[in-house]
Amino acid sequence: MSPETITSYAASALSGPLLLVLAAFACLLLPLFVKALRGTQGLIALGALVVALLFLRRAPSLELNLFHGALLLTPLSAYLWAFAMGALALVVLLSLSRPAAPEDSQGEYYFLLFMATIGFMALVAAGDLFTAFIALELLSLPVYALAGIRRSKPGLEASYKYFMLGAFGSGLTVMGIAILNALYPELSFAALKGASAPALAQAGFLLVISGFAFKTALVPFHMWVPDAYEGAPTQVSAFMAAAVKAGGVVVLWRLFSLFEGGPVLEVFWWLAAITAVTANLMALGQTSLKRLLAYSSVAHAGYIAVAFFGGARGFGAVLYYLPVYAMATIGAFAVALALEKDEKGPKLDDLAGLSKTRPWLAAAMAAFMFSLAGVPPLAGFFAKFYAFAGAVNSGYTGLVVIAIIMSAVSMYYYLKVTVVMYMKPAPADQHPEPLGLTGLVIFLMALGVILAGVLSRPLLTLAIEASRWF
Amino acid sequence: MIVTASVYLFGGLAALATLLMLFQRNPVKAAMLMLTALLATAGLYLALSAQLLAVLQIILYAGAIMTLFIVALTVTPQALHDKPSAGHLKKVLGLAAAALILVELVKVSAALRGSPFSTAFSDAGTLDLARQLFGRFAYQFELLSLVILASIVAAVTLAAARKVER
Repeated sequence: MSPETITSYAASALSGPLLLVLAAFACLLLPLFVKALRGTQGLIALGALVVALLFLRRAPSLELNLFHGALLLTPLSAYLWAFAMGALALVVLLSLSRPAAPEDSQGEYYFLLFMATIGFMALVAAGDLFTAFIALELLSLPVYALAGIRRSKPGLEASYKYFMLGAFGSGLTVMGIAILNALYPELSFAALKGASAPALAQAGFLLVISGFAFKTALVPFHMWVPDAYEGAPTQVSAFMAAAVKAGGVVVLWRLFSLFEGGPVLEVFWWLAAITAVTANLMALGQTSLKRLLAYSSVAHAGYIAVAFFGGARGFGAVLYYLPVYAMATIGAFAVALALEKDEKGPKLDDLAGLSKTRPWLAAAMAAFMFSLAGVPPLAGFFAKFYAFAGAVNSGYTGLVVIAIIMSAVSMYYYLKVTVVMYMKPAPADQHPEPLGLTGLVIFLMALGVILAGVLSRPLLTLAIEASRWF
Repeated sequence: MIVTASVYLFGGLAALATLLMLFQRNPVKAAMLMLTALLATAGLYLALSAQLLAVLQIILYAGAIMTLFIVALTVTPQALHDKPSAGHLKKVLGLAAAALILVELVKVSAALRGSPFSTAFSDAGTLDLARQLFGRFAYQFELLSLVILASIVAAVTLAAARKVER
């Protein structure tokens, strides 16, 4: 490949995030100075995102090492950047249809959303631990505030809990990086891979892993999840479940792949097993839809951690899992948004008789639930299949058995949602609001969940191609 | 000669201010004494020709953190009236812990006498840091600027809230 092609590729790849930075500032500042633009922040954001998505191109098969290895442009980064911008576009659509932030902080809302996405993009392309940490903060700090942007009591509580536990996790990460920095001259993932790991280094790695496990919400680092997802505006919860989690997953995979065996992998084994068991058992008793989805998101983090054990092929499965899971979750949160009457979102009983009052909405919700549960031919089934198959091939059958049993347990609460929608009578006083753009998002996600399952090959090929470049 | 004299001068001042701060019951006066101790430490760094550390000490500790303390004291007026509790057991435990830390510190200082740091270490000055910061770590530096900006916007957004609620 000629240098000109590479340069032009790098320029077009980097113009995406740079455009997002510009759009963030435009959303924040333009309406302050131009009165006519007040209230149009969402449209500015959406327009910028569409342009940024147009810059996306198929990445050439090479690793572009920028800024002394701090930023690695690879097919992997291209894949995850497209994922991030797609998720952001959906969240922006949801926010356009039903505003998540009060009138006077619309600009700040989109600014923070964009900043978090840029943090995600820097995180998944980070070549060393130090950069990954800064990017993680750029991803987390705006989301802490976004959770409480409504300034209502549940929102601020969510924000506060998320912030305190997140800051604790960041503290652990910094401590771990300091220990590793004392031992290794170079903190790039490539250099760490070959290095020998004495006991102190393993302690450092475990601290770093705990910090990222907070973001990914693996049990026992999940305590903030239910309250944060429930109290945050539903649009923000969807963003947290889809994007923030994916960022943590990618870095956890990079850390996981540094080891061939030993105590760190044992810790991962336990994290995956405990997460799958605890989250699914906790989800059984939930009556609030958003809390149910929160526990479901924790459980899926556990399945993804199981997929790690499949080695390089397992990572391909993870990369397929992330968008499939994100589609079902964003779709389910969009349904919650469409039905929500107060801040905490609908109760499960509020879905009663949905199949009569709004048959299409009920059908889409059922598709999301079945995909999350892993029912064929929906995409969730193939995601789980590839995730578990890799781990079985590597000889971790015990872990997979636990995950499959817990996955069967999860059928109970996913089916419960469907049963309520289809079997319970609707309350008499139903006057549904029009769906608007929320309906578009739900439609797109339902389509995606079905298509990525029935025609799983294209997405899977992209994921496997990207997975070679971690 | 001058260096030795200033080391003892600033070191003594820092120790004196810290001791006075410990026995000061008025929080504002204690904060001022702590500020003195911090500034004296900065002077100590300067005497040991660690200019960068001295400036950072003033900017970060004497500047930012002390301001935070003073602001915290002013927004929590009841802190000004709090009398420290005086349980005997607590005092004895506290003194024991302090004695332990003192002994350890003396031990560490005695151990450090034998192993002076390399001269290359003390030579790393502001210029080297700037070269690293704006050269090799330029990307991370820019990323951090976004982190700080996002934090400011986040904090203002959440803080503006209170006004609306009232």
